Amino acid sequence: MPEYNSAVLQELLDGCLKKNRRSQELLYKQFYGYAMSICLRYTRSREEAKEILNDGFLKIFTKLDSFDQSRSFKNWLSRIMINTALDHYRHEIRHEVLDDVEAADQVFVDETVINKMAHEEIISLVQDLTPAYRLVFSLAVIDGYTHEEIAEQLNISVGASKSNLSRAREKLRIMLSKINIDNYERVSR
Amino acid sequence: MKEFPDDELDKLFRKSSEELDSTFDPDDWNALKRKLDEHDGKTPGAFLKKWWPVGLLALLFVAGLTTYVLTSNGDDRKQNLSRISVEKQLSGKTQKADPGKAIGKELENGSPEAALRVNPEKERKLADSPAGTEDINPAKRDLLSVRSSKNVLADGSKNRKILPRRWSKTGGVYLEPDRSIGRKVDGAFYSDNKNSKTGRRTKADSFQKQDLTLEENKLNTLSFSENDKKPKEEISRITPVRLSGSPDLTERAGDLNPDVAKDRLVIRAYLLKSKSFVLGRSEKLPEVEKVEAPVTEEPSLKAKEQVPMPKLAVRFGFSPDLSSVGLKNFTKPGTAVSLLVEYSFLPKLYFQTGLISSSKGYNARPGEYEWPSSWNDQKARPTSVDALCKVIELPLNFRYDVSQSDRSRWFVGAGASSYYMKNEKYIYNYAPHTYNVIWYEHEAATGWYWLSHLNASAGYEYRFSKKLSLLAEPYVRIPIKKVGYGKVNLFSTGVWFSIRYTPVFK
Repeated sequence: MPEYNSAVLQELLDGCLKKNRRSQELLYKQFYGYAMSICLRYTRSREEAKEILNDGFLKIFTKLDSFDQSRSFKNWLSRIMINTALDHYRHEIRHEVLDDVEAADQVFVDETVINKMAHEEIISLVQDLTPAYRLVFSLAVIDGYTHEEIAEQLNISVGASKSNLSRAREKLRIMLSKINIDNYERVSR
Repeated sequence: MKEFPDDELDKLFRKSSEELDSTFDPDDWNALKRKLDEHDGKTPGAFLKKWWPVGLLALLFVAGLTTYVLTSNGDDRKQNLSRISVEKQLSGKTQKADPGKAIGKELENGSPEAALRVNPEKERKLADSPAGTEDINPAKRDLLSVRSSKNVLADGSKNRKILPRRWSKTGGVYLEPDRSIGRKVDGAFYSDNKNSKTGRRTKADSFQKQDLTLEENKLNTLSFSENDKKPKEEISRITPVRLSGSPDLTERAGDLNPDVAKDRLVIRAYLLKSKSFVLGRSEKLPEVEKVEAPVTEEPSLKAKEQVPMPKLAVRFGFSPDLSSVGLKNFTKPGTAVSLLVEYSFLPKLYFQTGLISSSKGYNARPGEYEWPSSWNDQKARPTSVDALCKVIELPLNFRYDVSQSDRSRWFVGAGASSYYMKNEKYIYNYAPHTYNVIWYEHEAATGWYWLSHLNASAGYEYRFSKKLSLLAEPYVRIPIKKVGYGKVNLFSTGVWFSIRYTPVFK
């Protein structure tokens, strides 16, 4: 038993394997926040994130017997959530229109303002990205996928992946600077 | 204000993502729970989606069984028909020829000659009558009877009780031989009038003597069809005469040698000509025609009366079991199987009992569930209780047939049931952030609850063979006692799909 899968978790997993609703509920509650944070950054809204979250947990509960218990359950759960989000993206959003990023030679951001931002607000900026930028940014920056892996997952070229990541960053900077400007105007009044 | 480099931007979002902790929303879990229930087949829609192939297979099985039973019944009728023919030929013991088979075919083809030739004694009586008035009508009746039997046998739908030999007992027609005479050790008949000593011999006697010789020769050649033209022509010239009675035959019995005995089942078809001849000379033919109707009807009525009424039946059934507390939340259909015995103690009224094994799933609200004393240590109360109980049910019901046709009937049923709670599993659901919870789930087996439910049902039965029928019977179980560990008023409903076997006791 690896140390990252505690005895309590192991007990819950055993209960889930027996399709015990109580165990499933407890496992769901325990990993709800973590899984939701993954889902939120791959979707544009909380409702969409909930849908992916529950689809992911359904996969977890129905395919738990395929989970190798010598590995980290948290990592397995994370991968399932990301894959579910990618499936959702492939299924629902095939014909997206890429935003043109505004030309901005230099974007300046006030660090103090950013520090005051809640995590939800920062993640909501990712949600505001177009799906292609959002997915590439989340996969590359937060979940640590390489451009080759991203290209394979999203069925795009490596160059397109790099380009999308660059544009996503640029877009996020612009959104952050807008927040700074809004905040400056509010304070100056 | 500073420029925001890539690494810092990435760090900002990575940190926010890791530290973001969304609060648990119970609605999300409820939504997932519904999905899980659907996946596990615990909702009616999912149940049907999951089990429809099994249902289809069951239907195909029943259809196949029905077809098989119906087909085999048809074969039985054919076999009965051929058995009748063989019986008609006194068990067809001749080995060289197979007159039974041949005659059976003739009977099926409706040949009156074939039907008549089984009774040489009768033919003799006919011949004995002096161009008679008294014997002519019975002879005509014989012919009419044979014509009727031809029709009866041709349509193949009547049973063996409608044989001409039986009609003699039911009125007016005498075809059954007097077995006290002309019989050898095994009771079969023979015919040989060459030793007749009555002194009443006429021209016909000499003709009949010739006929017998011809007849025996024909038997040896195993065929009637090719060589019987000549004797028929000869016989057509025969004048009906009065033959001697039984004493002569009795005397001759001892003289019968084995070869003759072998041929004693010979049927002298050509003697029919003599009957025709006799009838042709009758002046009372129109009166005889009226006899036909009662002769055919009476045996069939008797046959109907003799059909034994089935008293006992066995039923095997399957039903989805929809259980709930308080007539709501029918979300988890279980299954129920039954093995019931029915006994008819009055016409149309049955007593019914047996065993039913069912799996009942339901959801109870806190007000519907009585908390046991062991819960006194826990102040927190669940928001709901999910239960899954395995129950053995002992029903005591009465069934009344409301309407009945040849193949189907509508019925209603009522009674009471006792529940044996064999196994009870309870899962207690709490609101988020409920603390000091001791009881998350519990398993129990609380035993018998005598006459805890009232039963009511109505159904339709379709009989597809003499012994098997299919039933569809919606039912309800209304609680009159609280059952189980949580003492709930458990309401159940469903539809029995049963196969009913009715053995016929004589």
